[in-house]
Amino acid sequence: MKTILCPNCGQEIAESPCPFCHHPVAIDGPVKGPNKGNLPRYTSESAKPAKLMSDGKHREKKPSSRNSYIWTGLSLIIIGALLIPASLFLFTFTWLTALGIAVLILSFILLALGRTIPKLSPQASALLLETGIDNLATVFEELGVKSKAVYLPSSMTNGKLKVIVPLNSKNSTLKIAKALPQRLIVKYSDSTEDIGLMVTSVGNVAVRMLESKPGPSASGVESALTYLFMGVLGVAGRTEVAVREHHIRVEIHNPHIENRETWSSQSLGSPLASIAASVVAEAWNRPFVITQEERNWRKHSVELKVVG
Amino acid sequence: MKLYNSYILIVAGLLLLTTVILTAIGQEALDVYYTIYILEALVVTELYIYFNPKARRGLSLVSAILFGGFLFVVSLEVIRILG
Repeated sequence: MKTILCPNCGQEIAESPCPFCHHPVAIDGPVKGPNKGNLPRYTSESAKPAKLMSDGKHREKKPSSRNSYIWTGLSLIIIGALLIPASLFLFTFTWLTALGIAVLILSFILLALGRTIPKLSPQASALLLETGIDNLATVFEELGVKSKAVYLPSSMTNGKLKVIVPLNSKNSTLKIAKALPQRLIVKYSDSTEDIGLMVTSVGNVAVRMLESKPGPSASGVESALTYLFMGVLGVAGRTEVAVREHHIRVEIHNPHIENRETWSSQSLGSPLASIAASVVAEAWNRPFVITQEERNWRKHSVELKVVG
Repeated sequence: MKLYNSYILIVAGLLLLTTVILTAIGQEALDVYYTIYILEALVVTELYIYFNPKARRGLSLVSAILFGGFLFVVSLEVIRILG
């Protein structure tokens, strides 16, 4: 009997839907039914961590803290330690001794950087991210939410950065009278129709990685975004920000993060746009909405607008 | 990790280039090599302002160790001149 790994829970299964999580799975060819278009395209590599995590024996195994930087650093230390005495006392070449010193310096740098690499593998991180995105997409799809998400600053959400998605798409203006409670479904004004879903987006979590609150100027936002994209997340190159009254245009150079079109991404925007909107909302201390996104292989442009 | 890789490549390239240049001009003093290496490593580290705090802490420790070595080389030179 043909068995495959369920892309949702990672269990080995032979029938569709999955007997463990009831997720529709294509055993022999494409899945038929309403969910067909929304099935995530998992690679065999991204399915592996789920399998490991679902297995009790594998879970007890401590992940190795030795990454390629650490291994290279350790190798260079050995090479340097052998090279210096050999060149000093055996060959008496100054340049070879100097090269040994350079190798030692490089090994220290590699060891220092290797300690900062997260222990969680990229595959496991992608798995967790995709699970979150899929769950959110399911909720949005079930509720038929199509309106654009409004990125709120922490002052409007009692401390924690959040995104509010108005359930009533006809109401284009968003007037928040007071700080909103930390709930999933919130009423954001006195009108009975003004109800929205308050969720956490990728950008909201990314803003917590900043060392301090970004400044409201274009350069302040620019440096915060470049720090996040280049230094912390490693998902893009430098960023340019242009402020024009209530509009902000963010240009992200050399993006290398995959965009997955889901129901929720139509509302929340792509991960890069979500990060840009969250940072801008926090910097300006005002709610923002993503009005437009353009992407080509070299640049990702995001247009943001102040709401209210 | 692109930032880490570019940093490591630049430092490695500079150290190698320095070795080639100093060897070509016939430099025989090891303390000169070491001093230039340290200066280059410190300058490049300072130029990479977008490192995350954890990486910056680790590199600060490396810089401190290298600077300690530099002070040792300088003190040896001072003793040699005074002696």
